[in-house]
Amino acid sequence: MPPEEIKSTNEKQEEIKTPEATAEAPLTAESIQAQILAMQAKLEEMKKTSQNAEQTETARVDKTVEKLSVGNPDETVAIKAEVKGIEVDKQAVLTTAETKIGEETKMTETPAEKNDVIIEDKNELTSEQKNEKKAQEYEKRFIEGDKIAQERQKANKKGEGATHDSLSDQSVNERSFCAQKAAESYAEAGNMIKAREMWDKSAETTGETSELVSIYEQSHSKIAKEKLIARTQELEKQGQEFMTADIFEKIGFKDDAKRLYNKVTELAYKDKSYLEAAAVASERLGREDQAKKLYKEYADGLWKSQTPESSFLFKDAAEAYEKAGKEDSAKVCWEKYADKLVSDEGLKQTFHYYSDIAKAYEKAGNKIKAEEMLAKSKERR
Amino acid sequence: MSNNDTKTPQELLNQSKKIEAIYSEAIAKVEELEKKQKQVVADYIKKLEQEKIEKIKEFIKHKS
Repeated sequence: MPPEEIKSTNEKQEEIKTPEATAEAPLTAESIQAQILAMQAKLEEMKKTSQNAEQTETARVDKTVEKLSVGNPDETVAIKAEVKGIEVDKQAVLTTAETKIGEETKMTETPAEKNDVIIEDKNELTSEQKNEKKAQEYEKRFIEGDKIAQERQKANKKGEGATHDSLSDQSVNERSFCAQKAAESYAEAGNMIKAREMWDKSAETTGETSELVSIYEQSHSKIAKEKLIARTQELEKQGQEFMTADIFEKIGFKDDAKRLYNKVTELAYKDKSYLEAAAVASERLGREDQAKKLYKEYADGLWKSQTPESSFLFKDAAEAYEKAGKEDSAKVCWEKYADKLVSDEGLKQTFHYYSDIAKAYEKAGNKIKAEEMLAKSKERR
Repeated sequence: MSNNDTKTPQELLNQSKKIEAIYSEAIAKVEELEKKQKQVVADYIKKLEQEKIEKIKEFIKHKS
């Protein structure tokens, strides 16, 4: 290969030094911002240059094959895929660096532009005082947002605005976020009365089930609990028995949870689509043997339904067989899954490709192949 | 007001060094991958050329 072709990346790009190295003036927020912008621009440029280089390299392979009229087409495809795979890794490294440097940019933003409140420590405040101040700032933002939302609601009633739009969704999310942050900060400051008040406000604002569960778990908020009870009624009517049971369990309604987990296991006898949920439900009911039986039945179903394209079904089946205590069947599925991955050209470009295969072979008990793939994974990095 | 306005010169220097370290690390990794990428292609081309030489040798042998 001509030496100019192996010109290193460092030689191709101009050196970007820290502001302290390039300027004699002392470091300032502005000079750091300039450094960040210059580095981000350079990384972006390198991504494009690198992509072009990859295309040049694969074109070189094609030209040589054509010119010499030799080579196995499958091997040529494999080499090109390897070159492409390395390119994906290069792009990933550059994108990660861009993101990390971008995070430093966030450090220079005005606090008012961000969702997070930053309390300056000019007066040597104690940690409780800082948290109290932080909580007050979040609460202030929540109240402001709430005021705007109420005005908006009035306008909607008068027919002056839309009844629903993405902006109102955003406003709900922001208000709920501020109320939760205020509650957490008040709690950290030891002001539990205010913390509970803000958790309730957050529960009043949000409509997300997962958020309501999280608020309830942190605060035992009555409002969150009431809303979750109402949600369970809706979900049960919709035939979402497992999800309903899960919420009941989290809010302490053990009997209702048990009733619905039982129902899920019964439903699984008639409808196979309930098998996985029924297996988890049986586990939660403490019926280990029944859970194992259901996991096995679920895994058998997956095994039978496999098509040549569905490599991930082998993985699900392997995991279900493991839970069913059928280690040998699980091993067969892990080996099948690994074999499928090896022949998957599309997945070859993903970052964890070789380590995923290595893990699958290891679980299959195929140490030789596992080590071989692990070596490839290390080589790639 | 920028958050950096409240930083001490030492904090600013640390931040600058941190950014440079992220950048340099990425460049080093990309450089290594680039070399590997070129090596894969170079090895394959070498193999193809060798294959061609062997073919020609075979051809000459049969001719003579």
